[in-house]
Amino acid sequence: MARTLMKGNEAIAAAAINAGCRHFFGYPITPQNEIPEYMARELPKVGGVYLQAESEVAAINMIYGAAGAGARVLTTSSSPGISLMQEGISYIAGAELPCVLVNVMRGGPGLGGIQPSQADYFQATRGGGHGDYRVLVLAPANLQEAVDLTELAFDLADRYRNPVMLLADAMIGQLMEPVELTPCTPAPDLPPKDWATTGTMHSGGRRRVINSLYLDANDLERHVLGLYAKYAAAEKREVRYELVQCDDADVVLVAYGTTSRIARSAMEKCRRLGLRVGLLRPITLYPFPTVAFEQVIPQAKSFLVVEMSMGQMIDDVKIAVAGRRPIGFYGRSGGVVPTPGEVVKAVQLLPGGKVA
Amino acid sequence: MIVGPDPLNPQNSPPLPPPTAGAESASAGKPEGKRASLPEVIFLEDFCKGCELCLFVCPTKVLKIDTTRVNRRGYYPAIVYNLAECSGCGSCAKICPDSVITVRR
Amino acid sequence: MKVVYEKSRGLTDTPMHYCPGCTHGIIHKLVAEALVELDVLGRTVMVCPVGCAVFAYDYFNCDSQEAAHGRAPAVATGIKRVQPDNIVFAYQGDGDLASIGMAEIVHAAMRGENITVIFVNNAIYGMTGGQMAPTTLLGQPTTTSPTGRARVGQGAPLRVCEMLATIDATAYITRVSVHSIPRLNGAKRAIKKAFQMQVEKKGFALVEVLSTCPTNWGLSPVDALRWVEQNMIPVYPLGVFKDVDGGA
Repeated sequence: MARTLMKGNEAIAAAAINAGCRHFFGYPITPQNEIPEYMARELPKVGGVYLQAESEVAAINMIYGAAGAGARVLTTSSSPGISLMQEGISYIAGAELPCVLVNVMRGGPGLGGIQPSQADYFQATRGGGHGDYRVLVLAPANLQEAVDLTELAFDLADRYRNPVMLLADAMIGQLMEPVELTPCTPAPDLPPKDWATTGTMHSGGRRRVINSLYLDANDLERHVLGLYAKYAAAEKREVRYELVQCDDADVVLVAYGTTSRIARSAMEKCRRLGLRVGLLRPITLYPFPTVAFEQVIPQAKSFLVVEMSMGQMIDDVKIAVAGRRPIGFYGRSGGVVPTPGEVVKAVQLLPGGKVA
Repeated sequence: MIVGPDPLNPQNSPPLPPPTAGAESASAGKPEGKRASLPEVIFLEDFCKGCELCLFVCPTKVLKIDTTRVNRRGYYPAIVYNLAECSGCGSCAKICPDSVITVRR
Repeated sequence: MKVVYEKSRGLTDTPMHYCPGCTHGIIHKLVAEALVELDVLGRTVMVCPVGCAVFAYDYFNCDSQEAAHGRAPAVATGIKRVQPDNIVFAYQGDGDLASIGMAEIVHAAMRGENITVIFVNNAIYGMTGGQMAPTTLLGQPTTTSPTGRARVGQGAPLRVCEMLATIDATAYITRVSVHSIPRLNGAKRAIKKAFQMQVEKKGFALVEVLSTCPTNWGLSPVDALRWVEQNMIPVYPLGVFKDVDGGA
């Protein structure tokens, strides 16, 4: 398909279909309703199944069943709905099933608002549900990246047999930008899904059981250690990030998603003011790009973390920096989107933030 | 003697022997002498939990709980004590929640 | 000599963990026999509940998925939409289906999902030690209704079959019991018909089976069967509440 102007939500849905997703189970919630609506129109045309579930709780459990049956599956929601899905996500991770989730973040907590926010970072990267597990988290900053990361998410999910979440926000969901969808096939070296419950007539009588219950503590520990071996492999192989003008930066902005675009504009303003500012943009939030900080710390004087939240990614930045440099924070909450000018003012309060 | 799968270690079970007229389980009902008209009521006795549902549904009341011994699970097992009156209806086998009983006629 | 009754090959050799006399074992047999007799075992996927039957995946000779509490109809929906030619069934207790899972069962019925649901109703929460269920009878003592279920404050028992039968897209809704051989035979026929409905793609089928919990009722297994007849049937009448084949 040629470059087309698309709304973010629709681009994500189109990318999923492009990646071979033929089953979508979801529930309407602002600001991501264009995704289920797109799926309702387009999936039947390719022989797929669109089902509007009675709630996000039901939707995530349909995802569990369909994933266990061997399909590439997608569900999408926004912050309050993702909260409802946490039990199911824990079960999916515990049962080692692949699935792709999209959170188009909105203001919270509670019913909150419908404007963009990044206040679900903790929920996304710290498991979110109960138990020892992680979810791989990808954060696009523009619509082409949203398309590319959605397609990648299906491969990662199948490779690691784990939920993978695309962490977007209401801005990404509602923006319109040109995107290109190129033909996409699953990675050739993905393991076969011989664990899927397709019926014992297909397995020569071998029974497949999809389960996350291990009543013997030693068995459960062994199982969890196996999950974490997968996460260790992902931490080695799957880290993605972008460094912009960090080679000579005194102040490094750290931001992801929509906020990274604002930070980039702020960085350019700062440069015009004679300030040496760079941008470190995580693309995978789990696994967090700790290695990027090692590249940047030698020359940086300080960091400014910019988020649309009260400060959640900053915890991971503090872990990565390990006390070696001062870390400032600038954030807006409630769905308020910061302006580049606000970020520039925050830069100027930091060590290295004044023109020498 | 264990007849069939070992309920405490199913993966270590000997294979189930084919049913013969000379089956040695103490609780098997077997035909006597040349009269082949009596039904066969065979118990996988180590699966029995002594729940007595088989006694409850038996129309001719030929079952009882053998309180002289316990099976490997620690229960008093059910047995046929009067095979001559057994009609071979299979009600005991049908109601048994643990599929302990096989009935042939 | 021909076989009058033997263990179904739809069940594994694993000994069942259920209490002595628990009707789960009986109902498992009826389901396994139906699947074998309909020759669909090799393309069956079972969805297991949270409850005493959480280990059902060890007892049935087919593929299975363990569902979160109450979500079995949603999980079954996910499987069936990916594998429409497989026989998918959910096996649930009264907490799973009528409490936490009420939305999921109602909506699976609303959508007319072509699945079969076996609803084991023993008027109590067995696995967790005998708490009140939505199906607990008035006056019935449980650990969370120690003076007996009171209408004021705790409501009255929920009749699931009657409720679901009002939903247009259901195909077969029936309530049976296993407390005697004739009733057990009727239950077997109903369960087999409910699976036959799925084979024939006729829509949503549910069989509610009145069941016992001797341990938490504080009764012997035999007395528990009598309790079903004397106390549960007046509140939960047996019968067919919906049958697109005209049997209601």
